[in-house]
Amino acid sequence: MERRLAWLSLAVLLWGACQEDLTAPGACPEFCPSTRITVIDTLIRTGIVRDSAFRGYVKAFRGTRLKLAREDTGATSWAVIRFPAFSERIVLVSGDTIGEEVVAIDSFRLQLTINRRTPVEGMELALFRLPASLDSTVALADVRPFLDDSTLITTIAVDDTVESGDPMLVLLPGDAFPSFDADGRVTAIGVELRSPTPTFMNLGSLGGGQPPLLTRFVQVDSAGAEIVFRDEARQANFTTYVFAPLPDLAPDELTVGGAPSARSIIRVALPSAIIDSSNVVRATLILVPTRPVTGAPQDTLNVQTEALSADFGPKSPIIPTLVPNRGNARLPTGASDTVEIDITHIVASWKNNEQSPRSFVIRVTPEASSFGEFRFSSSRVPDMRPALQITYVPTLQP
Amino acid sequence: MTTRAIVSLIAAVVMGTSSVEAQTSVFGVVGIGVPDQSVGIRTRALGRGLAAFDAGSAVNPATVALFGRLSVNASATTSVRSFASRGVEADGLQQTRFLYAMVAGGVGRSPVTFAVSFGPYLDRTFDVTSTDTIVIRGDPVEVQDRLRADGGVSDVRAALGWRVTSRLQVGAGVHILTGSTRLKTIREFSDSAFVPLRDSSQASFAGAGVSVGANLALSRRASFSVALRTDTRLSRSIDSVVVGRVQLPVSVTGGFALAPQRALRWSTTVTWRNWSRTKSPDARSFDTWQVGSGVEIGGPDVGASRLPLRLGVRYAQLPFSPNDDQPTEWIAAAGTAYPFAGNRALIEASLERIFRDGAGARERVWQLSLGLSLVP
Repeated sequence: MERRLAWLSLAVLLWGACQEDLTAPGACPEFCPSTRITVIDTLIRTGIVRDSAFRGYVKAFRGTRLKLAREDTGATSWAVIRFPAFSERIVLVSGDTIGEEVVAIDSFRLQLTINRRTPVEGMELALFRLPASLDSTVALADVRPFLDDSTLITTIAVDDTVESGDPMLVLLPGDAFPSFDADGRVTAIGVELRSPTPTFMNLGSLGGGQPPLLTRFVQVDSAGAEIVFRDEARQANFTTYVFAPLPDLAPDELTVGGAPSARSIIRVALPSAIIDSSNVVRATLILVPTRPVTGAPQDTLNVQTEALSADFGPKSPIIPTLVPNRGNARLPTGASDTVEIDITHIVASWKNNEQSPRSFVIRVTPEASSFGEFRFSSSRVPDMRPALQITYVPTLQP
Repeated sequence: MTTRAIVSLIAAVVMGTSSVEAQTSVFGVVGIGVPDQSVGIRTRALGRGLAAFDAGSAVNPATVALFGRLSVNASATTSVRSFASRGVEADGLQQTRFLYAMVAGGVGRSPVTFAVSFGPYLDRTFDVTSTDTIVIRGDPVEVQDRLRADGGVSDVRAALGWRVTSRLQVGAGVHILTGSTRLKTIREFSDSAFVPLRDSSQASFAGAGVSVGANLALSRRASFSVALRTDTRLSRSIDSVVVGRVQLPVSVTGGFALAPQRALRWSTTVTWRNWSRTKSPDARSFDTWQVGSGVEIGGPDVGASRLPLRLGVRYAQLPFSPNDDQPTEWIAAAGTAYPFAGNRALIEASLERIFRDGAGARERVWQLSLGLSLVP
């Protein structure tokens, strides 16, 4: 009896301890806590105290896309693709270390991947022969002389049904590269976008894991007895795009984008009452452009803000934003309005974190995949300096 | 009853519940909280009419002199609550709290005895949700708020009692007021551009007090009791920095107990506290009267029955109100006790029905309390 009573008491207490529910609607204002949540929204024009722009992070040939823009738009951009040397002889039998001589080249097949396209109808790609000797220093001026009718290989109509991500296969004649042997069987191609209206197209690149592919179809003399047909493929070992040089950066300007890519580092000084003693529920970075956004017609730039784990200047390590579409703004070419970017996640991460630098980086992502650039005023221009609009809630005291 | 069972029960009482606090109430949202007293289960069952005489309660230090042997008791309570105010209704609000504990005993062969107790003084627990529409950056944004405070102030008393004569006992106690409240704040915005707010902060409380009392038995059937307690200001600290102080009240308690028959005991306790000196920025504060009265019928100590029947009723004024209407509470209580292990252990239970009204709110509470006393 006594033991049963003890265990019954135990059960009653444990049952009660496990069943807590206090949540109730507030009978406001009489029976609501006097400690009310207060939201404060403030525009801080002097919160950004230092800023710097650096260029040279990612070069165009490391970019994840090849940007094509129509020449007469004032934003010319051509793709440059080079393939490694094809073999001099073709091995027909496994174990044959010498191989057989190529009798003739039947044709080539070029595979390009449309990384992104606009729905403009009537687009064409023009393929030109380029010198096999070009390298990573190639510029628009180096390529321009070779983009004329004498070096035109072919033009390809971009079918309206071709969608972003689709491969395009183009058959080229066997004599598409007249200096094929003289160039050591190395081939290089320039690609120009032609369209009835200003627009752009992205091709897959080596840096983006979608390299162009060139396949050679050849005739091989099989020990003088018989002609056999073989094919041999080469994946591009160099891809880039060339464009008109970007104008020099003015002393009071900051910039992001372009190729090689530029980043801007923004350093912030906010009151501790906002950073440490409050909870930031929304923080907006306001940037004033110094000129319209440059880039290919109809293209957009993804301007991304990211926190820094340390502020070492241009080599500051970035804490990548893992959440898509957070802390970014998409800017169409030609836009000149004030740009607002949500940086709540960055400012909120500074709370009670003395180790974290009060600075962040702005860059265009993916970097160097466009010559597009966004230039904005630095903190050295009082009337146009970057500003912060912060909405915060001071910590309530019980 | 095995030692193991006793240990299990004590563990359940002490560990199976939350911190030491009084009952949670909608009236605890205003002012500095809902006050309570460190009283035992027996006193609760008697409508707190026995508070001035009960050695198991920490109201009158003179009652400490009634302890002869070392004893330990602890109790916990579970409440189910509903309220209505201004068209807002809520029910099924449930909470379990560790209520009260005391260790007492004699000091050698002297007439002096001691008691150390740990009980509630103020409760500051609530969990309130609300919705609103506010304008941020020029646009209306709907917000859903939740404010949850959990904690309160506990009363740790160390008291000495002196049996001056067989009819007169006096005592004095020192009170340490301590505790904390953790406030959790949640705000959800209808506009996803604003990140949800999740924040918490904690405040700790500190204060002190002294109490004196006397118990006088006029005869074997009638006794009177009086106690006086005064407390310092209660300080509120955040991160070890004092951010505020409020003056706590003086408490004057008097009571009488009558036993017209051996198996029938009637006790009444009246307490006055000048809470009006406790200025709260968000509430009106009032002095309070509390009157509790109860009868105990039978019980093993009088040889009438093994299980005593305890009945009580209590009227009390609450000290804080959001307006000029002072809330009040009525309590109807009942309880019993069951001795076992050769009367070396006692399980007590009380059931209270609480009616609180005033200031535009109505609250109803069922409160079940269980306690265990041991004489090692």
